[in-house]
Amino acid sequence: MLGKLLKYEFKATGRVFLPMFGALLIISVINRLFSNLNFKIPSIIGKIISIILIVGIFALTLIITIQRFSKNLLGSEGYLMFTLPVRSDSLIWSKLITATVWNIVSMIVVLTAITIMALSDISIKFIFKSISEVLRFLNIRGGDIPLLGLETVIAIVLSLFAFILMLYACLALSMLVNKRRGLCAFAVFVIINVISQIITSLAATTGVLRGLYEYVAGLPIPRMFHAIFVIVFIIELIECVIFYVLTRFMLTRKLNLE
Amino acid sequence: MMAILQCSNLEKTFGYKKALSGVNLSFEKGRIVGLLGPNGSGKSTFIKLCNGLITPTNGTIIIDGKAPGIETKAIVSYLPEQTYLNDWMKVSDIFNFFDDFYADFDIARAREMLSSLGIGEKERLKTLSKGTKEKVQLILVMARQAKLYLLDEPIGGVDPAARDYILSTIIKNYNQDATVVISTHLISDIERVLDDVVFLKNGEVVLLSTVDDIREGKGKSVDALFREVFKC
Repeated sequence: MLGKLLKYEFKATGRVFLPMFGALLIISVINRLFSNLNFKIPSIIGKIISIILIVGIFALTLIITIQRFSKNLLGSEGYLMFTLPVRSDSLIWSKLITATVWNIVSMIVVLTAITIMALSDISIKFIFKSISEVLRFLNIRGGDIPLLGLETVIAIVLSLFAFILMLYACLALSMLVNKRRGLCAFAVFVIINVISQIITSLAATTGVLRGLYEYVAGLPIPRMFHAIFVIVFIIELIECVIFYVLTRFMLTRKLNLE
Repeated sequence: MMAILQCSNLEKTFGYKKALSGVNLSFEKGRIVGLLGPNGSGKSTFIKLCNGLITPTNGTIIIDGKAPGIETKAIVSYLPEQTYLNDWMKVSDIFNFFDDFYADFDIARAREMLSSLGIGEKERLKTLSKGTKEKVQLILVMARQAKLYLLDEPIGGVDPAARDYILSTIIKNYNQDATVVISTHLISDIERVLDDVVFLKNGEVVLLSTVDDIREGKGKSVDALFREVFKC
């Protein structure tokens, strides 16, 4: 059933995202032509449009991530979704996977658009050159480039999971009140962030982390990176589990549809 | 015969407010049951509990031998009070959606009902009027070959002409082994189709009877009895 839920989730969201992505990529190519042909004014207008589109895509990604959960599950559409013969876990995963994929695709599309527009600029060349320098340096120091790449991807996915699940938990917790749920979800979001700030600073000041910090800092370069990734994985996983369990509890035990 | 729906000592409280208390009910297969009571008497709460949309504070519900969950959702066809249609699908899309998720959805029959109501399959759900949305939703619910239909105020929001159509749709489309539970406060419209009635008052069952017993034993229509029991 997760496959079917995913199919409809991608249909519901793709019709919004794909035209935006298409528009940004087309504008980028046109911009590139304008600047190659040295059209000054159209090129400035084109750049303004593409900046608006880029900001728009990031805003849209966040809005749709929130809306697909709050509207489709916690609003009136929830009467359909929660009476389907599917597990609540499948509902959460279908939303989570779809939102994560679109977040990653948005980043890739925006980076591609910037690359197309700025390929001739010195700055972008410099960035590419720097990246290859770093990779070369890691290679010399015995770093396993494919493994580091994989770890980077996992770190990105896990932190997206944690962030999206935190949004879901905030929205799900807002079912505890009957009015002004949006405001309540935002308040929960602020509270969660304050708490995590407090935990982080407590851990840093009470010396719990000092030993770990010294250990990691003393490692040779490639191993130090791996160690940092492992720590990031553990922290993100803990967050994921907390927010997932909270969301699941609210959806199964405290469901209170509008 | 085993009951399709059985609940014992069912209780649901919202905060300090008791929405249902001490409800013991058992519905047989093949019956049309009217769940009757004024607004706020606990009708919707009862139906939501049966659908697993909320969990009981106390007591149990057994549907076809199981507690509400994935297995019961596959055999229960639920018409909620509010429309749950999204705004991005066409009628044909939501038909396919139901076909994908419910093994008992009969898409051919749904198309038939749709054309007899003069609604186009390519119409967008977003642009349908409120009444048409309710009709589409009723088609979705009645085109399933479910064992239990739970219809929450199916005739509340439509005009009297549409009411007759909806009632005849319900009668025509449910199979003989299935049980239909209809919650409403519009009793006179629905009385002629009912086999059994349950009166709910302030979250408690005050009467459980067959319609024949009311008519013959008390010499009254259900509507008249309702007015008597719930006299303000």
